[in-house]
Amino acid sequence: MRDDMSNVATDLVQLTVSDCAAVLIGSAARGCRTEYSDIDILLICTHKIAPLPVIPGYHIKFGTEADFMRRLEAGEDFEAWCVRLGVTLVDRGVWARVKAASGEVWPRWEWKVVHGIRRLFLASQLSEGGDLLAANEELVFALGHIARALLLRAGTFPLSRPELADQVRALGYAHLADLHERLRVGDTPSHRDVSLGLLYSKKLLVHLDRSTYGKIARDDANVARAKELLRLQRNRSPNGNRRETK
Amino acid sequence: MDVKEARGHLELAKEQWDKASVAWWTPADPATCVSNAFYAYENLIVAVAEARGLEWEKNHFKKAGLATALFNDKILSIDVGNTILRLNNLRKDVSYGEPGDELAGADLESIVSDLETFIEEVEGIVEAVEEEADEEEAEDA
Repeated sequence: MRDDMSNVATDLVQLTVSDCAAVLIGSAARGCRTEYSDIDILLICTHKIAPLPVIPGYHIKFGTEADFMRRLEAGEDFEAWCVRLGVTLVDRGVWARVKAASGEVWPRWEWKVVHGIRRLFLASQLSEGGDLLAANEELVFALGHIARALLLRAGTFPLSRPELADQVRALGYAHLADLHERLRVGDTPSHRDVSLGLLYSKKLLVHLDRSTYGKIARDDANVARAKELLRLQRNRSPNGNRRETK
Repeated sequence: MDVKEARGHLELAKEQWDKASVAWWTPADPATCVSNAFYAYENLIVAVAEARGLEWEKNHFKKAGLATALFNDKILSIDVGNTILRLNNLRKDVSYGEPGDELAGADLESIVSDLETFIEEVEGIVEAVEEEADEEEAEDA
């Protein structure tokens, strides 16, 4: 498997002659991926590369060096994770430079709250629509962001998704750990766990940052109302075709 | 074969297409648009599998592979396997809180309109199986 990853990395860096690097990240980098996990590779380059190849079983995350450093300095934990725990597969120099310049930036847990709220709202919408499988998947992301926020706030650096449950359990959030694992590894999503996940995610997000939760919820509601009005106008129009009206 | 399951997944896909369409309207919400489009495509592939009595697995890559197999077997007229994989990458960037340049550059109008066309094709497949089932039921009665 490691040979496959190295081959993919070699192919990726051949997309450009610029200074670039391929870094193994996520559960594969931590040696704890499951059959459902993608192999995540960060492709970082001094210049943009497009289009990126689509490789079954792999998730290629591309970033320019400038964007990566900007987000790292802004306190995003993804970039901090890559720097701390990523496994270098190929490096023409850019990755060594990024690591040397990254210092000991501690990610801002507040960003994880924002990401968690966004995933929760999508999970809630999918659940209301009756797609339990999709709602379950988005809830795993939402709970993951929440777990990372709690850990970062407590001064513990979050590891990969399969390792989060043990980390938050050690922090005293056993219910979050259990729920995250049931939703993550269960074969068939349960109505009960999805409902619990929606309620518990909201409770934890409000606990972490009530003001941000309220603001995003209000903004989303305003946009939804405006778009509902647009839909009514379109439906009244004799030529109201969705694809013609934006 | 489970015709009711097929219809159920088709209806889920239609609702998700509607959400993707609304997300495309100004102010556009690319993250919601691609996430709903991705789940809609997956539901459509599952709908065809259920309608044709084929097994499917919840793994995203296996659903993309099934989409290509359905095209190769001439059950579907277009191969949406690559579309599913591409949307999976986009929505994963979103899920990680890392929507990148690819999402910003995504042609949301094309995503929504291609999905609509695909829904029409799958609707035809499911309707045909439903009609067959109705006829069999009538004969049995």
